[in-house]
Amino acid sequence: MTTTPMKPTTPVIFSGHMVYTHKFEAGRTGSRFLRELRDGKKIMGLKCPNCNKVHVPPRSTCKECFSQLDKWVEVGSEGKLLTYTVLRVPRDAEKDVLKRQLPVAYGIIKLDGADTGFVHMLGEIDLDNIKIGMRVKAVFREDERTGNILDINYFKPVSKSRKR
Amino acid sequence: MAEEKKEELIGVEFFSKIPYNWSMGPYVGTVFTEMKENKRIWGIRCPNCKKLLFPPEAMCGYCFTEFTHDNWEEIGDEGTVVQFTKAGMPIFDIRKGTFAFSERPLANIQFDTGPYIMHWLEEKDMEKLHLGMRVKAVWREQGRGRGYEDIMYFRAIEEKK
Repeated sequence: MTTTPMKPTTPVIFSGHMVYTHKFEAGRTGSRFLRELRDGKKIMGLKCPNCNKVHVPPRSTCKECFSQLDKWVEVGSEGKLLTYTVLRVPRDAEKDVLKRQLPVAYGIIKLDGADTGFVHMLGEIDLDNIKIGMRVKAVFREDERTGNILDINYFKPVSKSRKR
Repeated sequence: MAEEKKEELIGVEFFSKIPYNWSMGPYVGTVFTEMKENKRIWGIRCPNCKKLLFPPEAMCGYCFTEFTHDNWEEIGDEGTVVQFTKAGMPIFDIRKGTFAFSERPLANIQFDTGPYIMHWLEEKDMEKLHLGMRVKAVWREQGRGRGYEDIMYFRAIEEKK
């Protein structure tokens, strides 16, 4: 039993990770949207009977006039890019949740037939050549769709030859 | 309405990792530094109740005596297996933030000087393990300064007579 004095050390920092498990319940409206995406590769919206706006992604109440919405309409898988941003700083979300490589481009897309913007990632695209207003098209997952927004892989530019 | 087929509701599950930095403070910090640089394990002998505490804190957990840095005592890296188990489900890795199956059994080891440590055993075959077996720490060549991680596992050594 021999005790000795020792000098305290310089501060030691221990770095680690905590993991949180999340479950996002899509609800009735969101579930139908995801089911149609999974089963039929269809992007569905809800049309307001009062102001005729088509909401994509769908919502149960119209954000303009607060009407209850229950009229489902299919919108096109192509649309116009309203705005975008390119993410270059790594976040765990891209790596762990979305499983994407950086840099990744996010866009807000107004699908044909919809009146609202739809947020998704852009792919097969030259990041320096993204133009607001360009036409983009949804690329669906072909292997196994699980009822997740990522059943759409990304939106890719519509090739010029097909554009009018 | 009642005849309507029950609709499928979808829930989307995902993980998110939250990184953290944890300051170990002067006492555990000293232990970690010594493990990294000199491959030695230290505890504090309470000057009042004479208990050897590992990992040390700023105050004795038994008699509430406040410690100084005057009462360090080496614990040594040999001990006896008191409990062991092998997890049948993935264990969370705090360093990577992932879940993984561990191939090594986890043991509660009592050092010869008294304190306990929870660590991995080198022997993967559960049949060859028994309570009371003698083990010794196998140190990482290049310490990481992350305390217990500087020990890779405990290796079985000759029984004490």
